Amino acid sequence: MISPGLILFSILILFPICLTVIYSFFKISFLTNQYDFIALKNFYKLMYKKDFFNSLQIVILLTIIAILVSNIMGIIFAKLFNYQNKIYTILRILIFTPFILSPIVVGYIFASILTDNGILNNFLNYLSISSQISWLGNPKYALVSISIALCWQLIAFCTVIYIASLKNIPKELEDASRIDGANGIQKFRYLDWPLLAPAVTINTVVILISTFKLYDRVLALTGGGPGRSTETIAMLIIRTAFNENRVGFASSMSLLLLIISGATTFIALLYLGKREVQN
Amino acid sequence: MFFIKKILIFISIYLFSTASFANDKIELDFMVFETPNLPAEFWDDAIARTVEEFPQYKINKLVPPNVGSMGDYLKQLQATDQFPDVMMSNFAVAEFIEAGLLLPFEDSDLVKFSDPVGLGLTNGRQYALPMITVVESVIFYNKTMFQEAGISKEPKTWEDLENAATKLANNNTTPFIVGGAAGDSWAAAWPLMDLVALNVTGKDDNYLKDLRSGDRNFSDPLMKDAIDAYANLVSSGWTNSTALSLNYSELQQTFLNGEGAMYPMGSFFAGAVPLDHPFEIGVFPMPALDGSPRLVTYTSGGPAVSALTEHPEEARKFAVEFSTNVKTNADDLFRDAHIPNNKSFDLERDMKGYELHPLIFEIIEILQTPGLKHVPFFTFEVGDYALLPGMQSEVFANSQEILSGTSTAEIIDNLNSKLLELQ
Repeated sequence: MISPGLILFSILILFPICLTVIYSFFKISFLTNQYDFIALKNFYKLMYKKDFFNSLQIVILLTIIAILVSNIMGIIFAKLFNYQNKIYTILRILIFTPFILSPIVVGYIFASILTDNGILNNFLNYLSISSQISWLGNPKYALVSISIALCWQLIAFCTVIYIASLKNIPKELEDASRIDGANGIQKFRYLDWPLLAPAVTINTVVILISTFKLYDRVLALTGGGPGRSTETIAMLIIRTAFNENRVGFASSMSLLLLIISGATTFIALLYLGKREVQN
Repeated sequence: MFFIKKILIFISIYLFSTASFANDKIELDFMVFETPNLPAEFWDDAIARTVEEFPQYKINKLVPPNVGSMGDYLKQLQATDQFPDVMMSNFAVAEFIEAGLLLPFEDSDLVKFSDPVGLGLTNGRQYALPMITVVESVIFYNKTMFQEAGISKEPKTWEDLENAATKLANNNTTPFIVGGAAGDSWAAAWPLMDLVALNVTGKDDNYLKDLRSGDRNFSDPLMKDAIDAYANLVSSGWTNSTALSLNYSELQQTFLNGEGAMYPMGSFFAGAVPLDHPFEIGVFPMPALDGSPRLVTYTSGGPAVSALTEHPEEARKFAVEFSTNVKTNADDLFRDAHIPNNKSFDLERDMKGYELHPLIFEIIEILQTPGLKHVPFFTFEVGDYALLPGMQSEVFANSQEILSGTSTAEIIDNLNSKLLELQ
């Protein structure tokens, strides 16, 4: 008997992936209903597509920033708020709030904060820090702005996972470390950090998957601009499929993205999984 | 069993009643575009007026997420079998015509229009009603700033324009307000589209055909000069530093706030200027680089009808009535300075009760100036002159690159690479 879960998985995940693989060997336009078999030509063209490698670079950079900043800040907030107290309960709720917001809403919130006459520049001017930084209009700062919006949400998720993980550390080990005279840093280094390995794995994998398919936040903040300086791979795929009517070529990009993100996630799981076992 | 019978009876009654109800009205999906000048209220009133003539029609208004992304949104709708029956043709229609998605209008549909050809014909047929005329290559200017900088006459040549910019800059005034961020990259491309239309496509009739066929590319000297002209405005420090962080609404407001002297935009900006604005605004046509008398105009913008519609006759009738409703034309002229292309429209008679901004009369005067060659707006051409799908978006993105200081050589390289990829 085939399980309903497998049926759903097949319809929603497997079937679209298979369709994407098939489409990537065709020249397709949904507008003109054109379906021409061109074998590996799409993949050959992809090797020389400057835009794709530009977008890949952007995504890799955002991923690295997101993994580092979100995990570090997540651990800091988790340690800070891991107390049983009404105030800390409220703080934990507040810290998690960004994660429940829709990414497009987050994008628009940060667009209003980071625009030239937005809250941030006005605040800096109020502090007599003259700021003419165009956070969204300058290609150099636009990527930083996207990182801030991205990390703001991911930190929330990481914090919750780390808090849950910290609560699972056996009390006896904490008592033993205290008796042995370990200070805060020693306790973190020799007790907390090794036992947080599973949480690090979960957070890293979730961040990897989230950033590789980044679309909505960037659309709201910069639209992929200025120029193409913040265009992620997902945006490029949508532009290629719908704006340029090249669904086959977009499918080949999707397939390559799937392989890259799958391989990256697999390597991350392998390395972090080993670390979990060692700890 | 009793309950199952009841449920079946209920479902039958429901299906019968909805089917009956559906048969009473002819439903048409109509895609419009909402902007600060043409808000929801304008469209709702215009639709209501048209439906008075056709009470058996039920119009479902659709609005894209952004006026600049109408074309992309329509493609998504078409891919999901939701292509609207009628749509305002405020997008590059050429690829939709080529794909056979739009229905050609009959000659009898076009008799009410002063200029039935407008933007152009494709295979001798008109696919988007030439409802309005927009003068695309005008520059609005702050008269007070001009006076303070010692500029007594409107620039007539490109050299005059650059001299005016120099004087303004020396007087600590930002000469040009340009820009367009995120989904409004079309606004950043406006000056470039004007420059190309005036100096390349409007000068060399074969350029676009050759571009499409691959015989020429963006390295053409005329194109290089046009891109250079825009890049030079930026490199000379004559444009606002906020260019790439302003959406269209903010861009418009930046000029209205008096943060810069000149604002190159379409004539529809005149509809946004309040009558009691604190400073006087003037308008003059953007000069061509070689001084030739040309003006970029766009006569189109009316509804187009889907070739996939179940009600082609009704959709066409609705489109024609919508475009030639005099009250709608009057409202459009008042709000967005769209000059009606309707033979039945009389400025004096039909604008009674409206207080038009003097700028609108100046624009009409510019449009009617004898000796000016009207040339089509770059990236909106149709037929053999249309750009390949995806090229317009590349022009928009590279306009943002120009504003961020990217060199002309790199811009040309980007455009040529894209052209090769799309061919």
